[in-house]
Amino acid sequence: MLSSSRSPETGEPTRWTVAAYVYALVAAAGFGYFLFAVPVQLTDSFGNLVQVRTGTLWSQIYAQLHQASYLRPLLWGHLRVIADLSGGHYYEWFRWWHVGQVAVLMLLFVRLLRVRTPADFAVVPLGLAALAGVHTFAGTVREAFPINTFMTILLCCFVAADLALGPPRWWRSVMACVVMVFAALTVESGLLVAVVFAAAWLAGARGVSGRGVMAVVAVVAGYLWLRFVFLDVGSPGLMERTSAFGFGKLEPRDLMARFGANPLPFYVYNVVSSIASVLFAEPRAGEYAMTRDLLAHELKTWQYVAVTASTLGTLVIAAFAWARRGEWWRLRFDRDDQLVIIFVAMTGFNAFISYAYTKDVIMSPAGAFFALALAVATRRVAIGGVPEGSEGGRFSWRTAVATVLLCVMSSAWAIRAVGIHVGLRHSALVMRNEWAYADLWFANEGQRPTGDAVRLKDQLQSDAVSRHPAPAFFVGDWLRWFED
Amino acid sequence: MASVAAVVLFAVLEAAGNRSITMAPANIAEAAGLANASEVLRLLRSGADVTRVLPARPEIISSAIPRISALEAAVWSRHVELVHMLDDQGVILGDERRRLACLAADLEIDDIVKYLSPGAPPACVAGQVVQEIRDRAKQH
Repeated sequence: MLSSSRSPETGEPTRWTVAAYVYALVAAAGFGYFLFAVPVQLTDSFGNLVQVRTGTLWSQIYAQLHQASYLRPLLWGHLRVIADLSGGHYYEWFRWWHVGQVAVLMLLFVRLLRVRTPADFAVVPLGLAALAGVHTFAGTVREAFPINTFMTILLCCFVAADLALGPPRWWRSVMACVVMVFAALTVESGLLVAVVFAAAWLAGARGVSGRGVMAVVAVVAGYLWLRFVFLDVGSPGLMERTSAFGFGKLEPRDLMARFGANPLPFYVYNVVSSIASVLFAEPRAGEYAMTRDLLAHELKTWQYVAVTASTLGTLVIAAFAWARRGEWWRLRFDRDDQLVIIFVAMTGFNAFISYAYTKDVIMSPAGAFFALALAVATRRVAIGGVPEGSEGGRFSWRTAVATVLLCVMSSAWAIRAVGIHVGLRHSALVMRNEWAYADLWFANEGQRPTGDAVRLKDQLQSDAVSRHPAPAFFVGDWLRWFED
Repeated sequence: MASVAAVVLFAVLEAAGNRSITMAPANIAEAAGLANASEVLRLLRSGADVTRVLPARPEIISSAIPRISALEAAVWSRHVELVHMLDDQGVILGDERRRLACLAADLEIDDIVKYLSPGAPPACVAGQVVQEIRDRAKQH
């Protein structure tokens, strides 16, 4: 039987716990400053807002049960609830909702780290920098529809991990089923929540009971029956989008010509690329852009930074796994082990569901658990590995090299974390310009808003252009470190 | 921790009006020169005159062009969408359309020339409009 070598909830909160939460709130506030400046989008949000304002909440959800290819009724329900609550103040409500989601995600991150000691606190800044700085995170904040569904799933995954890693309680199993249903009916990648529960249970976490995990599996089975048998929603075509392959991109017709007869190699390519992307930040969305730029002597500074941060992070996690191999072999897992095992499982399954089409943001759950795994691994490998007593004062090349690598990795993640803020400022300007060109866009799309849609367009355009004017943009050579 | 400190410090400095690592257009001509369409639209709606010649910092167009109108700067930005948007707002009037087409021809911006003068190339003296704009530097 699997066991946990120490209680996952040992120790009462300390002042370091409070300090960690305060730090997360400060980080979230800084993030919110940039995130609030990004307006509700024209291209991905306007049509959704027009549609979601028709009928009633229930008619919206019911209609989504009968769509072709996609089953996302609660995504639309979520949109409708916020739209109704906003009373027409869409900019403020949807932007604050997004800021609030990021804040809750950062607080959950700290909660999962279970900070009790100075050593625990020491890795919080690195962990949060990795959470925000990993390239898979950008898509959860730089755009919205107008609620970012990927961010919603990240929150569901972290809530699932918190439920699973806590002390056994009956209500945790009930909540596990509720979160599972909500995530699965929000977007297809919500099924990854089941991976969190299953991996945590297999690693000895008993916050959610075995029966609870079985119930979660039953929810997944029920979802599949509902989707493919009862509603016959089906799935989108496997080769209907432009996809990256190697150093470039292939149009759907090229994909069909190359892999139409046997798509398996393409699927394997996508799965392997998705895993490598999380571990090494290369390739990106299936495209080996850094390798291509390296061969062409056109490597950008930010590419060095991204690959350095992710690769060193992966090395730290690997070192942690190596150091813990004895315990793992005896199936003895503590809370840090469980978080790393959830990361491994999540990366595998997240990549698996990306077999037909991969892009950075689809891998965002794996990216978020990468940050968690990095934080706990650093706590154990780097900080927990410092020898005490007389041995601690003796010079060691191994310690010196590890210290230098840790400094380089921390610096790289700090740069990545600042970079996401730079990217948000860029998005704020680009999306405002989209609103300035709204009439041209509608004409190019062959659309002609009428009636209530015109009023909504005018309101959102006024919000983006006049009520919340464009912020200043960044200038300077220093940007080459941060652009992505 | 450095990243959060940098972000918070930046936010505080920006809120206090510091512009050491950022740039914002000082007027509608600068906004047009930077192709900052949303700012152009905002200033236009608040009554700014797109034909008025305004000062522009050297990094907006070039050090040789210290004064320019928003319409001229829009052409100089090489963004045909911006010229199109200004046209949709009804601010490209009379002979100004031909003059802007000539400026675009001087700068060899073909898509803007085609947009402003779709039927036939505009009747221009090559280089004349650009020279007029450059001569403003000597007048000040």
